[in-house]
Amino acid sequence: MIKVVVACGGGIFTTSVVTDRLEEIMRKNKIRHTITPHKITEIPSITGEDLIVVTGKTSATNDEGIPVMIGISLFTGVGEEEFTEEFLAKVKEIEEQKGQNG
Amino acid sequence: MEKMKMNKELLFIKKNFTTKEEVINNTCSIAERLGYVNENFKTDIIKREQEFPTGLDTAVPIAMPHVGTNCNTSFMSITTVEKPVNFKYMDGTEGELPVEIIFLFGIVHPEDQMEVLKKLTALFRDENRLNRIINAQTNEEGFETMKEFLGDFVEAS
Repeated sequence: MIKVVVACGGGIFTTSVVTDRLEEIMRKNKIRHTITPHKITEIPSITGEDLIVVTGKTSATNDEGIPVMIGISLFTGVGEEEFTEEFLAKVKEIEEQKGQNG
Repeated sequence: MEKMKMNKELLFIKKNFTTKEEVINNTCSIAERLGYVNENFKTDIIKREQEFPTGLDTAVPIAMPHVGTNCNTSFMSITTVEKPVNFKYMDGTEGELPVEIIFLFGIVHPEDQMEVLKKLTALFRDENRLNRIINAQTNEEGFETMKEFLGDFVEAS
């Protein structure tokens, strides 16, 4: 189970669209998941999640070290394939780490 | 379901604005007069643009300032400009992005607006359609083009 956070500046439009795209990608790749919306300003304090995808500009990092990926390409379509590959690789890496930890 | 309002008075075609502030001020004051937003909406839009800019370097660069606060009804507006105005990049790329189309909108309940938002996303990815909006010479033409793209998901008036 991969727990993904989607965060944007306003917490409305791009979050909805990117959530939809991520749902589709993970369904297609048979990845069990949850997706929770947040605001970019909340990034540092998010806990208990596996991966954060943001749709706006940020240099924020998470206090627990949850990886942050810029996923704006899922919104614009520019560079979408590259992002999808990177995203799936990251998910795989996280799943493997989780497997090792028990 | 509440439809997104698209009023002819909120279509600004081939305007001579030179800054994003002019574009935002113009649209927000008309939206306020129409009762779509209250006086604080403009401040929210400007603040959002400062903190989380909305310039998108798509096939045809656009900006999409939007918030859901201080907004009474979901609405869409379009401004096209004779000469590009600068916005900051949404993805944090340094510098300024010159854009020729600005979609400024308010979404009160995003979950009710998913269909029109999907249409809008498809439009942002569509170079031909964006060019048709840029090339529209009159409000009428711009309005018909947008109605064609967004279909029944907007309440046009």
